[in-house]
Amino acid sequence: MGLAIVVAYAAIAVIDFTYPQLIGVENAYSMIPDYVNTVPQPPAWPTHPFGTTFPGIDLYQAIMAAIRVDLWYSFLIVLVGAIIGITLGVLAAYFGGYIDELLMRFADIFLSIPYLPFAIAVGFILGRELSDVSIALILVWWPLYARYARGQALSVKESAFVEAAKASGVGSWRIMIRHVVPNVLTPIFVQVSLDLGTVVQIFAALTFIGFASANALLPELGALISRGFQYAVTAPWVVFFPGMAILVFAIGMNLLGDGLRDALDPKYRTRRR
Amino acid sequence: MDEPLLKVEGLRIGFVTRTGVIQAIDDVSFEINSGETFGLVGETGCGKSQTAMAIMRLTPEGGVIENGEINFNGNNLTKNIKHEFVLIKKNGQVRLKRNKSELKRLNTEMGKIRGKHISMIFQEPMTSLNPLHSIGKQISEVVVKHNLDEIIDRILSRDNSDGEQLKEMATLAIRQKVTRERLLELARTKGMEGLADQIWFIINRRDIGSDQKIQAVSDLAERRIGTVTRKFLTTLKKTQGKIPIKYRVLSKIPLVKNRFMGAIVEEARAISYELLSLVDMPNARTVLDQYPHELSGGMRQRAMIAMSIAAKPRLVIADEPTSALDVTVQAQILDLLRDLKKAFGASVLFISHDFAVIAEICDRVGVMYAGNIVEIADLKELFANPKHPYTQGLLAAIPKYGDKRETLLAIKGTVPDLMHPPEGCRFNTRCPRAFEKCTQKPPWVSVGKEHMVLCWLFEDGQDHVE
Amino acid sequence: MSSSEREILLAGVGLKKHFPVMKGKWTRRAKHVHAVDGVDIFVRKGEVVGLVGESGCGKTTLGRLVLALLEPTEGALFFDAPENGTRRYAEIRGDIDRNPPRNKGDRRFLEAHSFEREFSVFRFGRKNRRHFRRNTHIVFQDPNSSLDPRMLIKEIIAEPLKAYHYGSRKEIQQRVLSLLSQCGLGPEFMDRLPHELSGGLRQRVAIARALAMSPKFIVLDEPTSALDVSVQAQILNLLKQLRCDFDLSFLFISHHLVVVRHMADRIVVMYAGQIVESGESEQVFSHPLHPYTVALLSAVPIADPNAHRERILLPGEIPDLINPPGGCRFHPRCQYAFEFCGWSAQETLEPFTTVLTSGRYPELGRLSKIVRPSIIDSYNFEIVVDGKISDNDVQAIYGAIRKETEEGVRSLSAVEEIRIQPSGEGSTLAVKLHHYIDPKLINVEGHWVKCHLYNENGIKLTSQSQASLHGKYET
Repeated sequence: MGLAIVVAYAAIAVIDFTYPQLIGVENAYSMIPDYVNTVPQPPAWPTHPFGTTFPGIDLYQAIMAAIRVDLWYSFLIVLVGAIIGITLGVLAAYFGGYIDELLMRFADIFLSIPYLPFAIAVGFILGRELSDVSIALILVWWPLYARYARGQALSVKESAFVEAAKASGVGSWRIMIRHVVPNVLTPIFVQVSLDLGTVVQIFAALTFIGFASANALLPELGALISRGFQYAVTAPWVVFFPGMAILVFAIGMNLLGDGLRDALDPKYRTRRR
Repeated sequence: MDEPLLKVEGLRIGFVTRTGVIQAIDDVSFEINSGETFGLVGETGCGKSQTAMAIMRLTPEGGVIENGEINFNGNNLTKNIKHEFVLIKKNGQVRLKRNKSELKRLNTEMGKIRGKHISMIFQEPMTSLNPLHSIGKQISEVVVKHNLDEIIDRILSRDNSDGEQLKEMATLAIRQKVTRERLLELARTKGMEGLADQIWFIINRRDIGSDQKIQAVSDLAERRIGTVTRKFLTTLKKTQGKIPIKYRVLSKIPLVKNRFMGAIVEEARAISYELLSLVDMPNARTVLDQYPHELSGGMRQRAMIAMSIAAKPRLVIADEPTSALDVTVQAQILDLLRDLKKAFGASVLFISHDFAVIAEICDRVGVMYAGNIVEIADLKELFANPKHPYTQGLLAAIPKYGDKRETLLAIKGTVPDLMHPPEGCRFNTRCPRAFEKCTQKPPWVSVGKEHMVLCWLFEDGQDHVE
Repeated sequence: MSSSEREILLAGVGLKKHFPVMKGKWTRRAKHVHAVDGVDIFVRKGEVVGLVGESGCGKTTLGRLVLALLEPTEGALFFDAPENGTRRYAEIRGDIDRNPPRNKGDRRFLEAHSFEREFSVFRFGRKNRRHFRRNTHIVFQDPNSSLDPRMLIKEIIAEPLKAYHYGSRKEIQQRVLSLLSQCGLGPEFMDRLPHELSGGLRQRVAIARALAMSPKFIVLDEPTSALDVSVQAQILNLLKQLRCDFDLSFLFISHHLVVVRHMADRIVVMYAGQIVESGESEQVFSHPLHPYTVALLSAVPIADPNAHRERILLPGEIPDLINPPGGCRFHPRCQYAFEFCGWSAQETLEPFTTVLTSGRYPELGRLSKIVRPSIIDSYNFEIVVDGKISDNDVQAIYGAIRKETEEGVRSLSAVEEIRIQPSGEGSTLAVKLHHYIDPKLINVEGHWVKCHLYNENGIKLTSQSQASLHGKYET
């Protein structure tokens, strides 16, 4: 079921990119304000299924478009973070000794950084663009993967089949690539999918605080919430719907992660065949 | 003495999974008499462990005893199996629904039996010993739970004893080299029955001389308890372990508790020490306060054995107790088990996959295959005249010590899938002597004195040549 | 099939492997686990050598060392090296051990080093190592973890072939099919995954993989210990057949003595990181010499209810490999141990004081109040006693010690001399122990033993111990 949700989301994202009109989004890159009716309107079918927010932006359209944006950034963050983290983690496990210690210390430094103040600091230095947020999050995120990958790699390294490969004359690099990495990646995939859900939330939180893109009207879930925050009491839908969007996505990713773990287990490879 | 201590009849256990029901035990029947060691031998997956668990009514989640009767000491442990669960067949799938109240009732009932009348020793002592408690504490726990009256007897007897009388008794005992029973008698005549165990223990110590032993025994009388404690204990004895109301609150307050329970805890610890010595635990005193991970495999197994005999059970189930041990340690443990058996007269259900170990310690043996017992016989008879083709195959596959045959006779094929077992005799896919009748459920026939087989080849009690 | 005349294929000389004990993740302590401590082992062409011992004896580590899967702390490994050179090397090494050199320029050192540099596998560069690996392989105990769970069977077996560029894809496939069939598996297994196979079948795959490059030597580390008896029989038969077909040499590591007896031509018995006995399989099994071997063999349960055997039950446990006992590592548990076997003051002090205090020897009653025992060094300790000690007392102590030794407290046999030392508080007993000697492997009755009970001519000790040593064991 998780798959279904995520697929839906992904689909929306893709559609946004190609034919936004399909789901009624007029402009994928920007929210369209309606300066006439600036006061947020409650949900009304069929004109504004989710209502509108200040200043007159149709929520439905905005959310649909925002999904794509959020997805994109979250994906980027997790992926880049994972790649960096896994690579460093596996290398650390492989080389061991000095390098291992060095890399892990390095990772520990970043691991101990609380993301919020760090993001703010980054914002201060680099700017408040969404891309800067992404960088901040990547930096905070990769050590997790490094640690995890390293742990996995270490235990896989000691497996009998790795030793057997060694005895078979397979070179060390090859062993790394063919044996260690695939067995390390499986559990990490699951972690990745779970993290996507988490990152979306964090990303939204940060944009809620105040990071934004140059284009103030770029549809983004966190931005939407912050925009509507002041109206939360009187017009709850302005925060409700974007919030729901985030939540559903997070849950979806979670479920996907579970399903993915089962699917990737080699025991199921046969069933597929 | 004529009725068997344990009687298992027609046991049938299934495990309900998403993909189907695994018929782990098909139809198992056997008996164990008082004081005998019955071996259950078979390979992985044959169901021997599950049989043991079933006797303790500890069948894991998803498993149900569908049929059968387990009778221990006249007590039917499977009285209400029909009420305990309901099998629901839905959309071609089978689901299991357990009756919670029945199970609760079962657990209460079994709680009185487990550990006290039937105890169990497992293969991996590390997993069955609590890593967070010291050995002494764990053994004491068992002692306090099951032997409370014994503890109280000891304390009170000691209190009532007289140094001179004890000295006399000890001297007599040592000079005459009495047996345990005789000592018990002697003690009874003097009204010091509760002390018999402790005296026996002291007399058998090997690190001190006779004079010191006698002194130690007479010194027992010196250990007195306070009036309050005495009153408490006497009351406790009458209520058979249930703490009377007026003490209940007091017994919970930490420091005050010690006044009452202190004597009991201390006594339990002394008994634990005696038990550890009984199982030949090296450095028993130190071990009392050590944790399982500080001990070696052999020592842990001894601790487990000590725990399992603490309550003097009538039946001890040993599930592969030596499989995880080195061969020299295994020899020690088997020796110990033999000695204990002699001393306590308990029956043992000994489970193993190793025929050699079975040959060392069992009186009678049952061979299991894929959820059935295929043969039961006296130990010597089984080795001399194995009748069932599986037994024969298994015995032939063991490398014989001192016999350097070139090839071992192997049984072709592999163990069947228990979700879809073969029709009739479950061994028919691999049996070198299978014939048409084997697709029907084989009969359980006698082929000799106390020798039963589950096979069509012996239908009329005779061996059919094919 | 007498293989005693065939040439030596693999020889390990002076192998030592010490693992540093880590506290936490990073701190290395000065302590080491002496897993393998000075082992010489060799395997001839076409021979099956059984390596037996209990857990913690070092056999698994030795199995890895012998394939250079572990780097040794010390030692050399020769494979297909000139036999004369190897023997000479072993000789020199043994000589160096017995008579340590005085300076680095010692001739023997130089000779040994040059041979080592050229032929020891541990010194090999990449190319030579690959050649070594090509000719050797290993089969592990646990069939579940020795196969990569993500790889298909055909990929698993093809791996060594690909590593050595065996040939084209088709040729590799052919070879895999042929290997499978040699191991009793049909072509339908090519595309299966390890978890679809039972333990026995997985072991067959592991064996097929080991045979891929037609090695000359395979280490089998407990290959059947995780399998059922009936499957074990199949695998053992298979191994025997393959060995015959391909003239393979095996190092068969197992704790299961009956299986080893069935499979091995020669056996090597390990205890606490060292070899204590080795020789032709039948000889060692029928006439074991080392007390440990005797006890080990007597402890094996026999699948025959009519066989009665007197079991020798060893007291104590397998020693701690971080601080192994001095001298002969088996001495604390040996019922024949005597003064040279390795007793230290630490081991002897307590039994000695017990003699005085236990009350078993009333003539020593006066000495039973011990003020203070103290250990001076490994061979000397003192006991301050409350009361005056006379020479008669000392004689009585000697007598008591003798009695205790006979009854089994072997540590007391190490007492060489007891003297009275007058001191301020009562008297002091100064006890001196014999210095112990490290036993060496010697050749007795055709096989090798490391035990002080023997010299080259046979048994050194009194006939009484000889009789009891051999009387306790019958086949």
